[in-house]
Amino acid sequence: MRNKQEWFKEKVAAVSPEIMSEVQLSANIVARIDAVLKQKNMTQRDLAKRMGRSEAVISRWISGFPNLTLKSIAEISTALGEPLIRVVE
Amino acid sequence: MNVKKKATVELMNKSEKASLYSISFEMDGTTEFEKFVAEFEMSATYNRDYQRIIAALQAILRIGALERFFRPEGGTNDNVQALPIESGKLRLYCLRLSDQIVILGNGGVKTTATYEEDPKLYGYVLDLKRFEKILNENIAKGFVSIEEKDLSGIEDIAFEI
Repeated sequence: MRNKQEWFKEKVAAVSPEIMSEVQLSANIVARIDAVLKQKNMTQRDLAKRMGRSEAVISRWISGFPNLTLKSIAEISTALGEPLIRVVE
Repeated sequence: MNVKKKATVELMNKSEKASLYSISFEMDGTTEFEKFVAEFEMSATYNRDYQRIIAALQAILRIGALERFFRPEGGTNDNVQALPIESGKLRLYCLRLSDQIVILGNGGVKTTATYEEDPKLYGYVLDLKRFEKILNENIAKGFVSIEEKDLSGIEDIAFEI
């Protein structure tokens, strides 16, 4: 009988590479934002204020696994004063 | 009437960053997370959302169970959370005990404004809330202990919730 961990790995392996890549990128960006906020001792509310947007909007942008646009990433990055992503040259 | 259920917990996967457990109410040990997968992995309508949830679990194993990845769903006094997928209606409910430990429950399609309005989803959340209460009692009694990524002793206990 397969154990639960082998079964789990099979389910992960069955995810389409495109979806897996998209979600991993999203998770990386959210984790990076989280780390920068902690490093700068900033809250989500501080970031929203700095961006001139409501906290509800910023919460949607930086929680879960959001599908952020380049515009949103640039806006958050500018407000944080830190790069969020790096493109391979 | 509140019918008591026997619950056991099984490790589904672990990494250097996090451990994912799931809860089972079945005699054969089928976990709530396995039921969730069985219901949605072949769904024509929700397969994409389902795949995104599985990918999100993989991200949690890789990065850790950051609070920011989850949405609080139970109440202010518990750790019941949902893994929401942007623009999707599929939810997986879980107990996020720490940045390293998550217990996966069942989930479903949220078609109402709140999960409380849907008896099925409400049941899944309630199961996790009740389980957390019993788990905390077992931790307090020393039967289960949280050791970084591990819930030591948890797989040996049949909880009654």
